[in-house]
Amino acid sequence: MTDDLFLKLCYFGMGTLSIFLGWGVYRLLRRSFTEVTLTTAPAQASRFLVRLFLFGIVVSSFSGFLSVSMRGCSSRRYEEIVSDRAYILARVKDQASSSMLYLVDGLLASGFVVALLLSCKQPGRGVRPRV
Amino acid sequence: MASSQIFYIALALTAFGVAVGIYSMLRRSLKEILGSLVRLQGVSTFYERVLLLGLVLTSVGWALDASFGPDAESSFMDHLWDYADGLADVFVYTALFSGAFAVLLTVLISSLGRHRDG
Repeated sequence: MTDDLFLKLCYFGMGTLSIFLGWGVYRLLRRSFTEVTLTTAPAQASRFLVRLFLFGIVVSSFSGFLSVSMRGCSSRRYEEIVSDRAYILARVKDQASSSMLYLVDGLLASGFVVALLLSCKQPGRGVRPRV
Repeated sequence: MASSQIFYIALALTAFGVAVGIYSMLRRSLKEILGSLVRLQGVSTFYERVLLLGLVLTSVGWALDASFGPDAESSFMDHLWDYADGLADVFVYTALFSGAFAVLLTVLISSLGRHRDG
């Protein structure tokens, strides 16, 4: 495998993986999130919120990937990057790590959205607490 | 397999174990808190999964961020110290995530409690 192909495979592979990571997290949470939004908001708003949730989670993960520059802090040239496979693997590791950590921010934000939805819900419509 | 890779995999596995361990300690009480506040089953499931995913992603994410010295220039103890540095990051940021989740839960409890009291 040529160095150029290795670099492209690593970069685009990690980019695709970060999108799938976000999508996988969305799939895990989709049902319970939809249940909450359907109970607390009108149907149209619920659909909007679920789509926004998908967008937010996938974008968080992908922006984590994008936030790590292959050029690094010392602004390496392309020839220096492509010839150093250890450096490429280290950057890919950073991208995977960053993607996961950005995703955590997205998860916390969605948790706050659910808390807001629940607190805005009027009493006596099924969500209210056990008094 | 190079010894740095073995330590790297061990760190990732330890981080995953730490996350699952913390989750299993907190899961039951989280379920009880949410069960006493809200009847809707989806809320409980949602927050349990957010907690699990958040803990796993935080700890494994910081474990992946760890760096190990080259095998030719590093001894066993060098790798062990790199492992300890990585594990320190895992614990610090897992604790920070747990704190953020506690704040989130406090907001939820106070807002639902306010409705209940009113």
